[in-house]
Amino acid sequence: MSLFLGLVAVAVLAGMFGALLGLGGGIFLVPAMTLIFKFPIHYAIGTSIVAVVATSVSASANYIKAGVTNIRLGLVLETLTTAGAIAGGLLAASLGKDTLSTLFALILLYTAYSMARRGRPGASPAAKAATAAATVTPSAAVTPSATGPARRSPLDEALSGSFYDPVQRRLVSYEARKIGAGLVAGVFGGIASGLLGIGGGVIKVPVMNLIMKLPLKAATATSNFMVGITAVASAFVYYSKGFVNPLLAVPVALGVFAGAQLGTVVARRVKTAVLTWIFVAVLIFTAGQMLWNSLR
Amino acid sequence: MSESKKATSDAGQSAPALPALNRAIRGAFRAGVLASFAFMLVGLVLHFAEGNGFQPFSLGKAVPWTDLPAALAGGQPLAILSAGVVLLLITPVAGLVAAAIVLAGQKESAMAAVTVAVLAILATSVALAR
Repeated sequence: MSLFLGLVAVAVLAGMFGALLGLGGGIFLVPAMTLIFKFPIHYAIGTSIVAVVATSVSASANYIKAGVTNIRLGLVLETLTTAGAIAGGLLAASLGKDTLSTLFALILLYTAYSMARRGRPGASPAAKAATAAATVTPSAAVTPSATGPARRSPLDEALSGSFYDPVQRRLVSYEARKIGAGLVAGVFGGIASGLLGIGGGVIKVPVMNLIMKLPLKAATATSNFMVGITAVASAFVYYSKGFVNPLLAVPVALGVFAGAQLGTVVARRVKTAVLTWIFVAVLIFTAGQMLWNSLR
Repeated sequence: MSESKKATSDAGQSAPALPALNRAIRGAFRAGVLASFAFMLVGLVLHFAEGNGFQPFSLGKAVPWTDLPAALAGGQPLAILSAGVVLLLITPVAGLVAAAIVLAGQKESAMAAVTVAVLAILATSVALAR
């Protein structure tokens, strides 16, 4: 019974951080299940995939209610992300995992560096400009971009968004930029999900925030919505191959659900800068974990 | 986005009312989570009530899709647990179906087509998994 309770406790923590950071929680679960509980890696990944779905749908329900999720943008990006997840599952058998893990870790470290540079006090004007696209308006209407009267395509109109930020007590309006870059990144996010049993939010959130210029809270919520759909693409495969063990998956899913509820409540009261630093720490931790596994 | 009805916030600012698309997806997600977790909790209680310990690698093999209806009819705890997992996995799919219906109803044909495309890709993964 202590194993059962320990598993639930780890799942609650993973769910809370997953919801806070727009991740599925798999980044925490897979190492915990293999290193602490000594479970076989295939079962850890199969359990993690189920947990990713549980985290996503439970946290998304709250984010969608709060109006933070950009559903249309998530659906557009998910076309190639889901395809990437299937490709990732197929690639996993033919490519060297150590090579992929090393490259992946370097990308994560670069992203952590970029986010840390932008988030530190006294960041340069160039770094702070990265957040300028997220225009904060006191009015309830979605206003034109602060960058001027640039022509907007119907796609730009459809994928713009706004949400009420209770911390700032204002409506935050923004335009999603560089949809093509987001689609390309979605492919890599999907591949990562299929290969490693994670949701891929670790790629989606920084790309939506740094390149597509979504506010971090909108990027986190939209990623949360997307990762569940991405994970389902490979979850069916893991279930069919017998790597989803209900006695592991059920307590973990229930624990992750409880943690995700806690995480979304906390997220609405945490300032963006705090979220940024938590995310940087997670990126460095994940990169170190991947490098360690590929080089040892 | 098309709905402009506002709700008053505690700060005196106004926050948009929840659009139909958000309501539909959230409803599908909540229904899916509630149904799957009900199965999971009942399955766990029955599993331990039958005197089974927590031995996932000797007792926890998932019931295959094809055998699930018959196993459920027999009231097997492992089948109930497996059904809970399967219900959870199809919840995001239900959200997509709800989104496609709402978008089609709102005459957003491009976004409805995008949603159907995602569903088609997911169907491909199910086909590959068989």
